[in-house]
Amino acid sequence: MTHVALFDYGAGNLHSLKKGLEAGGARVTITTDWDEALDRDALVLPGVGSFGAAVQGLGKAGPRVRRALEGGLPCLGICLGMQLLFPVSEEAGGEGVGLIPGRVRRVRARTVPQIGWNDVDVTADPILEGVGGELTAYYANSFVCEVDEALEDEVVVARSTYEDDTFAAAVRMGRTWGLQFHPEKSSRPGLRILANFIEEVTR
Amino acid sequence: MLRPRVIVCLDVQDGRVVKGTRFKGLRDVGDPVELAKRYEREGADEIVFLDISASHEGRGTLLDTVRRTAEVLFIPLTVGGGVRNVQDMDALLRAGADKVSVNSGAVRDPGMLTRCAERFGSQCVVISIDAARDGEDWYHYTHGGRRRTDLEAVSWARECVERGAGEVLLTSIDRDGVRTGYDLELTRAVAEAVTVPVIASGGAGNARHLEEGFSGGKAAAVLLAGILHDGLTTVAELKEALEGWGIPVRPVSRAADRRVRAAAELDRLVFNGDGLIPVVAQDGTEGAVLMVAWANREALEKTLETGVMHYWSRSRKALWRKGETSGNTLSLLSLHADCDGDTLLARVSPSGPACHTGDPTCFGEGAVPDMSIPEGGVLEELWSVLEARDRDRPEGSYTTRLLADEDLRLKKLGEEATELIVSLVRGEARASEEAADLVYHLLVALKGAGRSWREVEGELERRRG
Repeated sequence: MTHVALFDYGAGNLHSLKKGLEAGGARVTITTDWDEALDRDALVLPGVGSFGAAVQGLGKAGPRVRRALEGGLPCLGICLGMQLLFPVSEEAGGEGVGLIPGRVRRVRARTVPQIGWNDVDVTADPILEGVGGELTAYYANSFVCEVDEALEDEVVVARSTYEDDTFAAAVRMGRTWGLQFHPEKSSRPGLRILANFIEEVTR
Repeated sequence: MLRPRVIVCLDVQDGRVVKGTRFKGLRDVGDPVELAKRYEREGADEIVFLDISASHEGRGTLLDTVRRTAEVLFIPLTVGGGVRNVQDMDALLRAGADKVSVNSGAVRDPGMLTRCAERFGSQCVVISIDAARDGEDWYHYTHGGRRRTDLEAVSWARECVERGAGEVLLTSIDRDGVRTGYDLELTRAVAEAVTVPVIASGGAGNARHLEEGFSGGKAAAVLLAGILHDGLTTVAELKEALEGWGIPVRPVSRAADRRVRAAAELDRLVFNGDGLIPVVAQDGTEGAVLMVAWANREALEKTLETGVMHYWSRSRKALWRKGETSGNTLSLLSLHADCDGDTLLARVSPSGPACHTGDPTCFGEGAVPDMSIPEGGVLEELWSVLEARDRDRPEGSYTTRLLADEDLRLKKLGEEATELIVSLVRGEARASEEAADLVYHLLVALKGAGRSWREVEGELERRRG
């Protein structure tokens, strides 16, 4: 059985995500220890807290995490967890994992945070398949990821638009995925995405 | 496009959902975990738990309730009530809340909003404002609407957002429980004053009120409770009405309808490299799996057109009608694609043995399901059927109708009891049928109220002891 490490930065709800991954067929261990987190079949970076707090949770492990992901460790970053895959954020200082070139910037809209269900326009990606037609997913974020232009078309696999701001809903680089929305809060289609990720891990 | 949200609020006290207006006349309406899950199925975009337990024990029970809910609920959960500091918020988020709403705590110490936002992100800090009109303005109340503050509601909302709140849950005390519609003036005043989403609350009586909350009130979300708990309507019905009026709510995600009814729908199927798709034939009444064979598009078109199963023979490279030589045809009841669209299930009615060996099924007797009663007894089995009906709510099912309509359900319970009494008084043989009706309606009534059969068994066991 696929054994997933769910990293705990020390804030927020991990129960739904744990149960969602389990429903997708994985065994899940919640951990605050990077040695353990990088030693499982896959790493999940959850989406709760602030960038500053998450960078603190990352501590000195950033380069190690990056090497592990570049070495093929499957990873799913959700919301803040996706943002942590980038080098820097406007939200707070400190360095993220820096696997994906680009930056994290504030949503350009009148009403921030973006809270609620938004449509997701999927280009193509195995983990976003089989969600039953149009995908509408739950977001709760004030910041979004901007991939460097040279790689944008290759890395961004889904987009959403909030007010007039179009941003990356999902990114993929090798065996690492990032989702700006919360699959564990997106009802049935979200659970399917988590199950798809577990399936990709076993592939 | 961001979808306008429909949020369901559950008032929770000591681990149970109670209702009434928020401030008086409470009555137990069920288990919060089960109800939250039910509203997710109906299409709710979010659930709010408002804890109204006053006691310390109630607090511990709340954390447990939140934990159990987070494990089964896959839409956002906001929890509020009695949150005083960063530690309280941390405990609720850790238990499984996605957002936490703060009321009195922020009045006492507005700085807590900033500390919470810095630690957890403003997207999970909700400021709850209970406002009542006084002349031209509205004033904020604490303690469940009992204590007036000198905070003018609109500027208080603005201050809270500046301090870090990421969402405003705005309840009109004047409208709460009255069902005459949201206070649109109040809602719009706050929505225009702040740059975070505003949830309109207090006063929802029908779908039109929700529509007004979005259009006239400029709310990002509307919150409702009573009309759902009373069974007057469902989230699905409300959303259907809203869609009809052009409000782009998130469509209710039903169990995908994969039934193939017409030839045009064959486009959805995935045929293999040879243009074929496997078709599993199942006896539609007995449940037995009868046979598996291949079909191409033409065979499926013929099947849909004639109502009897047609296949493609790979050996003879020809279309064939099942039973064309044996006479044992399979009449189609319904055809369903699987989740990937690459296999079909045909529910059929066989006119004779399906297998060429003369056996009823190609898989032998073992494929015929055992219809005998499981070990737990017939009541247990009936209960599990009710749970499935409650989960799936199949259209046209009498149980679904009863589960959706509290008045009908309870009326029937009374009627069945009376019919049994009459039958017993008259000494009729059919008294046992009446008793069976009563037991069925009793179980449905328990199910509909969010109770469980286990509780009843437990109580009986306790009395035996």
